[in-house]
Order: sequence, then C-alpha cells, then structure tokens
Amino acid sequence: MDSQSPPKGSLEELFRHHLLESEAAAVPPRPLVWDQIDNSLLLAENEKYRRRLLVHRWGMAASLLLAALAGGGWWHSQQPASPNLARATNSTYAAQVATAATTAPQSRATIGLVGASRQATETATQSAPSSAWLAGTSRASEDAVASATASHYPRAASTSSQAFSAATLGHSATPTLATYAYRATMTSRHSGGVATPAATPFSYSTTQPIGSTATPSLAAFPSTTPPLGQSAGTPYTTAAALDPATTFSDAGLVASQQGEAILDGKLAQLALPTAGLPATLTAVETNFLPATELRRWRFGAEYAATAFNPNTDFANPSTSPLPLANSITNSGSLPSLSAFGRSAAAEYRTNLRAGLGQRLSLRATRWLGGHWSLSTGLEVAQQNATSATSLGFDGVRMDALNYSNSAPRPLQTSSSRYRSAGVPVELRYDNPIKSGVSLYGRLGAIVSALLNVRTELANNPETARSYSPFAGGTPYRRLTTLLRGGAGVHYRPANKGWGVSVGPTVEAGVQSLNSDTDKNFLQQSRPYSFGLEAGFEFNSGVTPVQ
Amino acid sequence: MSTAAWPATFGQDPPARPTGLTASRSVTHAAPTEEELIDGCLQGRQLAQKQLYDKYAARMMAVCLRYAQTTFEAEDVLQEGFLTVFRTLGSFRRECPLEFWIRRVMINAALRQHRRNAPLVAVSDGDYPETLASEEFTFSNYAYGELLAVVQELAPRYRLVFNLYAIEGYTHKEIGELLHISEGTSKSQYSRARVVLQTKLARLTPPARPLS
Repeated sequence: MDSQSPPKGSLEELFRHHLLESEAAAVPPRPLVWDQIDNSLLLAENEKYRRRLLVHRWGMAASLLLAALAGGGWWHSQQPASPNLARATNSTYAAQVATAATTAPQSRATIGLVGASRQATETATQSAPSSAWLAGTSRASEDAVASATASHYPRAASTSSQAFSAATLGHSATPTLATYAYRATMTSRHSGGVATPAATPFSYSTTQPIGSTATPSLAAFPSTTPPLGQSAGTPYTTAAALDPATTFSDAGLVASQQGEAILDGKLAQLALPTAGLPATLTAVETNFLPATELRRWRFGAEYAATAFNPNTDFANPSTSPLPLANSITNSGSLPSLSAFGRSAAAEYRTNLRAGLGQRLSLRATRWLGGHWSLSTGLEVAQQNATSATSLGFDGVRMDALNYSNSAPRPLQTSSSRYRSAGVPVELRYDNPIKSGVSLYGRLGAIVSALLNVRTELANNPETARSYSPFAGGTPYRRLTTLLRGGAGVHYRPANKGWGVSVGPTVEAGVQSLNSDTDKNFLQQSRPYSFGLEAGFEFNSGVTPVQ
Repeated sequence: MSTAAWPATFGQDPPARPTGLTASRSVTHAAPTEEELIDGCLQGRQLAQKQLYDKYAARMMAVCLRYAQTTFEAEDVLQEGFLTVFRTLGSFRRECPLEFWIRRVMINAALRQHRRNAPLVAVSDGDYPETLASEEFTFSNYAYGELLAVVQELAPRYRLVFNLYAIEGYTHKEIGELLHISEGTSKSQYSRARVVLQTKLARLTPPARPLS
C-alpha cells in the first residue's frame, strides 16, 4: 500500500478497524451502572450469608433431633422389659424366667438375689405341668437365660478387681447365677453331666475356696445353703468371680457334682406332686385366637385441600422471556424492555398470594414389614394462585400497551390455574393391624407433569391465555419433583377391612416452577403448599388364615 | 495466588461490605496486577471488584454497545455481564488474558439478552437489494459513532451474526451453535446484514464525508 494513500479495505475491515480500535477510547458507562452492580453484589453476599445461616440452623436442628432420638432410644433401652412382650412369644415360660431373673437386681442385695433366683426356680417348678413339658421348654429357656447373662456380662467385667460389694454383686451377677442354677438343673436332669465352664459366660477361680465356688448354684435354691458370700465367709472379689480364663478345678467339679446331687433330689421331690395333675390339666380350656395374616396390599383414595403458592420468579434477569401480546419495536426513549419486564414481574411476585389447591389420588400401599409401608399411585391436582399487577402482567406475559404507555394504571387482579398429574412414591409409618385410632406419618416424593396453566386478568376475559407445557416457548417446567410429608390420625373399626385417615400435609418443590432460571439450586424459589388431607382405604387389617 | 501473596494495600481492605455505595472511594495505591485483581475479587474484596470494573468497563461497554440497540440495553448487558464475571471468576482458569474471558462473558450476556428480547421485537428487513457488489471503503471517511449507529440499526439477529462473524471472528458453524440456528441460516443472515450495512453506508450524507 502506498504510504500517501489513506487506508482502504472491505466492509468487514472497515468495521473491524473502527469498532475494535475505538474500544479503548469508548465512553465508560454511567456511574449508576457500578452502583447497581455493587448493590447486586451486596445482596448476593447477604443471600450467601443467609443461606449459610440457614444451613447451620438446619444442621443444629438435625443434631438436636438426632441427640433426642439417641437419648430416647437409650432411655427406652434402660427400661425393664415388659412381661407382656415375653408372654407373646413361643418361649413364654423361658422368657418369664429370664425376666424374673433380670428384673430381680432392683433389690441390689444378696438376699434379693437369692429371692429372685428362688422366685424363678419356684415358678419354673410349680408351673411346669410335667417333667416332659419342662424338658420341652428347656432349650428355649436356656437360650433366654443365656442371652440375659450375656447382656449383663460386660457390665460385670467392667467392674474393678476390688472387693465386690453386696449391692454390686446382686446387680451384676444375678442373671449369671440364675443361668448357672438353671443349667445345673437341666444338665443334671437330662444329660447327667456337669455344667461345662465354657457354656457359662464366666467361671470361678481355682484360688477361691470351694465353698464360694459352689455357692452360686446352690444359692439359687431355697433351704439348701446360705446365700452367696455367706457360706465361705470371705469377700467375693471380681477377680475370683469374673476371670474368664480360669477353669473349674477338680475340687470345683466335686462341689458341682455334690450340688447337682442335691438338685436331683430336689427335682425328684418336686416331680412327685405333678403325678396327680393330668386330670386337672385336661379340664382347662384354652381359647386360642384364630390364626390371622396381615394383608400386604391396601388400596385407597385421598383428597387434599391446601393453600398453594407457585412462588414463581420471572423477575430474575436471566429467566425466560416475557413475550408481549403484541410485537413492538423498542425505541431509545423508553427504558429497556427487559428492565420493564423485570419490574412487571417483580410487582407480580410481590403481590403473589396463595390460592386453593386440590388434589385427588388413588393409591396402592404395600406392607414392607413392621410399621413400614410403601405406597404409590396416581394423582391429579388443580391449584390456583392470585396476584395483582398494574402493568398487565398475568404471570407470563404483559400487554404491549403497558410498555408504550408508561402512565400508572390501577392494580388488576391476575389469577393463575395450574393443572398437573403425578406419580407419588411415599414411605408410610403406621400400625397396619391396630384397630381403632392410631397415628401415621409419611414422607415421599412426587414426579408431577404440568398439564396446563391458565392465566387471566380480572374483568378482562380477552386476556385469558392457556399454556400447554407440551407447546414450545412455555416458561414452566414440564416435569417437576416435589417432596411431601404428612402425619395424622387413622381410624379402622375392629374386624373391618377399611379405614379412614385425616391429617395435615405439606409439600414443597425440589425445583422452581418456572424454567430457564440461572439461579443455583439453593437460590431457586420453589412452589409450596400446606393443608389437610383425608383418605379412605380398604383391604386393610388382618385376614384369617385358611 | 495465595492469600498471603495479596499486597498489603488489598489486605487492608475490610472484607465486610459497607451498606453504602463506595464507588467514589479514591484509590491511591499503585495499580494492582491482573492476578492480584482476580485474587482480590475471589476473596470478595470490594476494592478489587471496583478496580477490575474500572479497568475493563469502558472496553466492555463498547462491546455491549455493538450488540445492543440502545445505550440502556447495553448497560443492562454490561451489568449482567459483570455480575456474571464476579460470580464465576473462580472458574477462570487463567489460561488466557482476563480481558478475553470477560469479553466472552459479555458476548454471552448479550446473547441471553437477545434470547429474552427477541420475541418482543418485530423484525423488518426494509427495502434493500438482494445483493451488492463488493466495494472498497476508505477508513478515514467514516467515524466510530456513525459505524456504531449503523450496526445498532440492524435487526437484532443480523446485528448478532454480523458482530460475531465480522468483528469477533466466529465461524458460521460456531454462530449457528450459539444462536441455535443452522450454519446456512447464519450465512444468509450475514449476507443480508452485509447488504443492509453497505446500503446504509452509501446513504450517509456526502457532506459528512471528509475528502479523501
């Protein structure tokens, strides 16, 4: 190119030359822009802190809940077992013996220990209709007592090697002694052997006097030997009582055999009265309840009336477009179209009010076991919401006239109606066999498809519009996921296969209802509802086994 | 860069953001480097954010003006773009100059703005010939303001395609992916934009043209 001639070029080069090279000398934006950016950053920072605070609060609440649950569980575990529960099992009698042996330590005294063992033994012998029956239940009884011993063993082992006080011994060793006594009884009667040390959770040291070794087994029986610790006249130490590494000595075996000989004699005496009992026993009538089986599947229908808030937020700068009813061309004298749309959407959101939401669902519930059930089905819902706008914004669109005519207008009521269908999956906690009034709780998720959205400005039928999510350009999500929880009261009449339930319910969306939001997951405005639900179910309860 | 490497001038900046606007706060320290600016912004320091904004606002405003129809709209894009910059600066991998990355953010903000407003604005091609012969232009005959005005008068889609292809250097395939249109559509729209621009440049009043 000639240095004298001015630079020339194509159209692209012309624009590139001027527009790119002039960037450095371009006029900076007005200071107001930074003010707005700064303000937005401040709001975002506050929102971040608020969110963190919320997370911390939830964390604290969850921790407290867990602590309360753990405390409740621990407290419950410390409560004595209910005799009623033991009776309900097959090993009724064995459990009763175990219960008597484990609850006896409340007295925490040697005399209490002996008393409890005596009670258990007496119950065992007096209530047994025959030796055959006793033999039949021996296995279950052994298991129950052994488990009671095992559960107490760690506590006994944790005590120091200092001398046992009577109270401590009475508390920790009672089940063990009951076990020993019972095992001695059973083994001597049926197998003729000696209770093996390995079968008992702990055994006795060879360094201890023979009398103290034999005492536990004898102490469980009345009028044979003095209570534990009194026969040998020496303090019973932990090392002597709880060392699992020690074994029986020959002297101990001899003592055991002696004790078992006494037991044999006792049992022989006890067996005598039972010889005259069979006639009495046949006269007793037993009324067994008919065998029943829990119905695994339940079916039902539910209706819920709630206050629903769509919580849509089209004021976000990056949400979906706000199409005008009429196409217009922006002119420089007006504020930018997006800013105008945002202000209209912000006004709509400010005035947004919850409306009536109704839900009808059909459900099938399957019993999983215990108190837990899983339910699913199909549901349809219609929800309404209202707002007010001065810019003709109906929740999705605004009127073009409002954009070109900036004169203030009175507020108009804008109503929206949302119809959806969904599939819920819920985990339910209730008592499926109890008749009468019981409580239930449930938690689950729903995948819901938005079928139709209808918007309308009050007193202006021409503004009514219907949006189908299956048509293009909808600002709503086609599929939404919601979380739902509920609890309440369930009533089922006795011997009937149906029941009704009623209780509060709450529901919240996992995502926002409006699509095309660039807000992160935690910042999204989610729809929510709360209200009452009522349900009817049939094929519930138990059914007789054929 | 670690926090310890941040200069003392930035370290003294209180992290807590005051409620009042501090745009007028004077900065008496030496201009920080790009790395220092980035690190300051990542730590949420307001002074660093302001300095970053001051450094690039004018250039980015020029970019936004090319994509927008009005100054108001350009400021909207600029505001949204800088908010995105501050929010996503952590994802900047420092493999390219910061200015290049910010420019991309601004262009994306302009595209989002276009998607929002496109259904609102009627598009009119006007009365222009189908094709024009290639012409050579003398650069000194035209001023920045004139050319900017001509570009801003283009229909939004034409303006986008022209800016992306002729100024930014995107290919038609890339433009098609950005605007969700086919490559052929991008080419035809660019051709149309070119004709409109060429016609408008020819219509500029002769007295305004300096003698070449």
